[in-house]
Amino acid sequence: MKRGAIHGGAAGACAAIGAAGALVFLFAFPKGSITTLMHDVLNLPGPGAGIALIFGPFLILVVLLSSILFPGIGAAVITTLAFGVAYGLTVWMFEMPTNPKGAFGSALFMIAVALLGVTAEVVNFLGRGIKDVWRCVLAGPVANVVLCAFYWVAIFPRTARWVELGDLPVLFGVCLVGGVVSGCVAFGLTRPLCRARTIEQKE
Amino acid sequence: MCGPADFAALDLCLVRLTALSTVGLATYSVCKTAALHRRLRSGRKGKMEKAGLKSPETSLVETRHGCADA
Repeated sequence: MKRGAIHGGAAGACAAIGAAGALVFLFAFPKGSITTLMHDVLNLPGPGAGIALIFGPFLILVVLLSSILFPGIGAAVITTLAFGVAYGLTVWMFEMPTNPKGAFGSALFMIAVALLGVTAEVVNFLGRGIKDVWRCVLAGPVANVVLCAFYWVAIFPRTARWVELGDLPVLFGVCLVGGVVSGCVAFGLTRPLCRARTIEQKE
Repeated sequence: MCGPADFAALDLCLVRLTALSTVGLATYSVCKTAALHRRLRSGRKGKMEKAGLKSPETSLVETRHGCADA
């Protein structure tokens, strides 16, 4: 399927989806909830379990939703940038507390989400000949691993500590599982939406 | 290593996630019902046309065209 660059209303829609995703994430996961769930309930090692299992998959879900609903080169990047900007602005405007470990709203955070968007874009472009479902299942874990790797190398050494080598296999596995599940959910959610849009266009 | 546990935040998170899921399910149900209603209506129209009967909308359009031709 040939994909041109995204523009106009579709780009605006992708940005809106990204911004809405940021607001939903801020609402659903108050400060301390993810850390408590990962380390005190699930006993996962850290740092990075929250990014691998919650933040990464959530962002991937938002990105894949927008790039499936509005296929075009640039959809994923626009969505992630809008997510990052909306997140940072909302936190700043309402002085919402965030976990300093995640560097949420900072420049490094923006780079991390942009990197995820670019990765998703590359996978979507390279996988343009394959079915949506397989593209989602591939994009999810790849993008999640890239996000987590950036956090482990560039963010956590400043905000928490270096991840221990012994914890990497577990965290990597969590990364992959989270990404695959997110990809499947994104595909499952877009099916009825795409169908509804096709029916509306036919009418 | 990762800061003190905050079970109040986790409880709040679960409540909010439940609320969001409920809203999502409700929206999905409404959309599904609307799509089903649309499909039933178009199915009924197709059956009437097959049986040689005109649907009320088609009759109205033809009557208008008939008047215009006359």
